[in-house]
Amino acid sequence: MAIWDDFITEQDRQVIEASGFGAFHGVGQRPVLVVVDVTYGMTGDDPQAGLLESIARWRTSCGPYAWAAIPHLQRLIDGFRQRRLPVVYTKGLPRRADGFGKRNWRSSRLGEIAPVNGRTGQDIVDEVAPQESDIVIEKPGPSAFFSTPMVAYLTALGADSVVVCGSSTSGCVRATVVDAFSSNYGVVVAEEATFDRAESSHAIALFDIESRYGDVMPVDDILSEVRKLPADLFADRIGQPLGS
Amino acid sequence: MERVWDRYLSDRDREHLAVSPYRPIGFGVRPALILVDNYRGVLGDEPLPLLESVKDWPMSTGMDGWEAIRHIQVILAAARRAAIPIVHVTALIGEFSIPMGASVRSIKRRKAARESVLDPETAARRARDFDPLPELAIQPGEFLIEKPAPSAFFSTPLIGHLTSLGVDTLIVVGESTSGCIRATVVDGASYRFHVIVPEECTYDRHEAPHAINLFDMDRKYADVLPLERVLDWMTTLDPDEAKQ
Repeated sequence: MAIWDDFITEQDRQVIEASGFGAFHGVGQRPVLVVVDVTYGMTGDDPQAGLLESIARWRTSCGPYAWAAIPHLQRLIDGFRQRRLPVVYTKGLPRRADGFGKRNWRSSRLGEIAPVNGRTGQDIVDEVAPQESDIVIEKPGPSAFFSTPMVAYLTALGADSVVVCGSSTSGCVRATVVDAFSSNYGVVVAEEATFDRAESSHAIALFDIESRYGDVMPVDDILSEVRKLPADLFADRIGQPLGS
Repeated sequence: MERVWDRYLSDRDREHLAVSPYRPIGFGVRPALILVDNYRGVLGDEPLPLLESVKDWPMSTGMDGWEAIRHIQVILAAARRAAIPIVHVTALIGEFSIPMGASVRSIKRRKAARESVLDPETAARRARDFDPLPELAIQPGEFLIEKPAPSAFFSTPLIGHLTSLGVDTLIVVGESTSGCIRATVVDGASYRFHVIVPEECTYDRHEAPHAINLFDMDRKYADVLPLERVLDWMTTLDPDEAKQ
């Protein structure tokens, strides 16, 4: 039973089946993990806080949904690191106090940019902290590809596919998936390692991705495909000191 | 080795080069041949010296263009033998396209000027400016991209094509060296491709800009090499590998 089954209608189901949408491709030959916006702004800083409580302090928090995803994110990231596959993190560009460049986000709480307990909303969560061999990209829009070096870095890596996880499923994950697809990369989304603050948006975003752009797979299935790949696929590209 | 730009460099340039090490980019393993803007208007109907040719063909590159086309035919044949991807890039033109840098008012003005001034013979030539050259006719399995700006990458699907082909090296040929070739080479390098420019396969209507732009590209973004070197390398490629 898929997570979106509770949200789609009987007719939706029949249409998908009849149209042939959702054919399976799986993880590619040279996959890169993209961890989208697992930042305190999206998780809040208190794993015990309820969703509304967390949102009271962090207006974009996904609260308990985020913290439920963190162990899956850790497993997924560890699995990629063990095979020395590249891990790319994204986070939002730092906000300016004068509001310049803030775009037209539809929120009445855009002015809240002060750190909470020493964290800014753009800091990556400690539990999934990037390592030196990883790549961190600051992005100005929802998609990891929009006005960033993402395509250049994937080209430099010789990547053929991305495994996307993080948040929010219906916002930055989805935008990143669509652009990765448009750029001709294979796309997999790690189901339990993505999260959103709205249950219905989360489910329908995954449904849309599964039917059009990529495969929504459980973390375990992704890891078992990843473990079949040759070790050190990217050793000549990243993670080794120059001249070694 | 004497280079085409040597006689255009200043004494200080030469002294600076003597103390600045040259670092070649090198070939990758999966090249594509990118042919940029080879169409009737830059050659004219017959090989004539530039100042003759330009009377009937304002975009003409004169004899330099005709000579370069012969070299481009050689590398095109070599690319077909090696079964590497071939991308023909030409201008996006047509009833509904907007010339670069044009406001609505200037388009109307230019259209009016064209219709009032051109005699039928000249108008017929202008209509053939962007006709493809039979010497470089596209074959089945090759790609055609129409671009709206100097760079072959700008607002075109080129990067997506190259990604899905798994290309890591661009061999860029065509015209003009100082315009579309340079813009394409800069973007290609920015996307982290190895960029190779076979010197005899590029051409321009201006001698000094041709030479200095080759110099710039060779110092910064690409390896500008004698055609023979590139052909030698292409014979080492495995056509069966390229077909995958």
